[in-house]
Amino acid sequence: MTLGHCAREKEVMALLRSGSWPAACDPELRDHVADCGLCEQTVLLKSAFADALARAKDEARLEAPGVVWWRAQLRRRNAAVERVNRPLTQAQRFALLINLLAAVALLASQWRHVDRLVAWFSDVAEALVFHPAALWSMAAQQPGWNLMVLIPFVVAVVVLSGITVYLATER
Amino acid sequence: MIWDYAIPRVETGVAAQDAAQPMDSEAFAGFYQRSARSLWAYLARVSGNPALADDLMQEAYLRFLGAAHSADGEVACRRYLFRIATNLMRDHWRRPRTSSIDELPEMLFSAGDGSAASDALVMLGPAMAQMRPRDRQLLWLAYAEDYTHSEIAEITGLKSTSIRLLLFRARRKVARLLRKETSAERGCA
Repeated sequence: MTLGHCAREKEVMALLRSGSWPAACDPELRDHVADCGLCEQTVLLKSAFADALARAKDEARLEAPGVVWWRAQLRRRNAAVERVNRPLTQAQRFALLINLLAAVALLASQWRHVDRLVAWFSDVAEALVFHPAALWSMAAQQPGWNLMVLIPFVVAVVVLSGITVYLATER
Repeated sequence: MIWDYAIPRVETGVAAQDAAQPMDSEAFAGFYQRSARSLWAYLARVSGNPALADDLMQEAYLRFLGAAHSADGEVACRRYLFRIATNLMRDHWRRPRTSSIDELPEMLFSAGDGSAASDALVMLGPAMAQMRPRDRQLLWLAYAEDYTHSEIAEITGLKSTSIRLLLFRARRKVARLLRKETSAERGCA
């Protein structure tokens, strides 16, 4: 595609920008514009857009600059607060991760007692009457005392994880 | 200024950030008064939606003030502002929605008050409505804002060499549409 070019286009554009077109313009240039398709196009477009710009400027309903400035300051400060809180959130996430890792490590270490735990739960389910005291003694009679440590520990981890997640997502 | 004290300070290094701020409230007020009408005209005429132009203009100024921009002078600040506005418009059009810029009715592009509108604007509205959004941007920046090809390239993020070709095509098309409108007007008269 060949891009059209006229050596006098810049001259015409300058006159249009300064508002000198067509009154304060050389008649020779006016004749050129009448003959040159590109310059005529430039005059048509520049006039239409300049008029559209002037009218659109009149239509604009502007807010006070102070209001815009105030909103920008507010946004800037909110961003600063968020930046300050970011390490705290990361610390909470780290705490959650440690909790989960501890829970996984404990479960892995107690894995060999899982079959006893299952049996213990099935005993409880089969019991006709559920007495916490009986439950305690039943668990105590088991050779795997670790169960009595494991269950409260897992419960504590779950509770702590819940609190950590809540604190992390509180904002 | 009064609004400086209306917001509670956060003692977390904000003072240091404020010190690095490129424009104080007085300077901003002056810049705003000189640039806001042009920016609104650009947003309103290119998007064809005055309400959207209000929203985008506010967001553009907030981002402009939020960016750590060195004091490059009014011309560079103005160009930067138009660049932000152009990106906001592009983001708006990219967002999935029920009505895109291409689906807006032509009447949105014409003057709101027909009696006060000049012939050129009445003709430019429908002609602009038939142009692609990017062409509208290029034409407005070139013929309403008088930006050079390199400045338009900086604002739109396009290559300067592409601007020349795109603008050539766009101006040829809009001129054809304007001539068609004019001959139709004369035919009716």
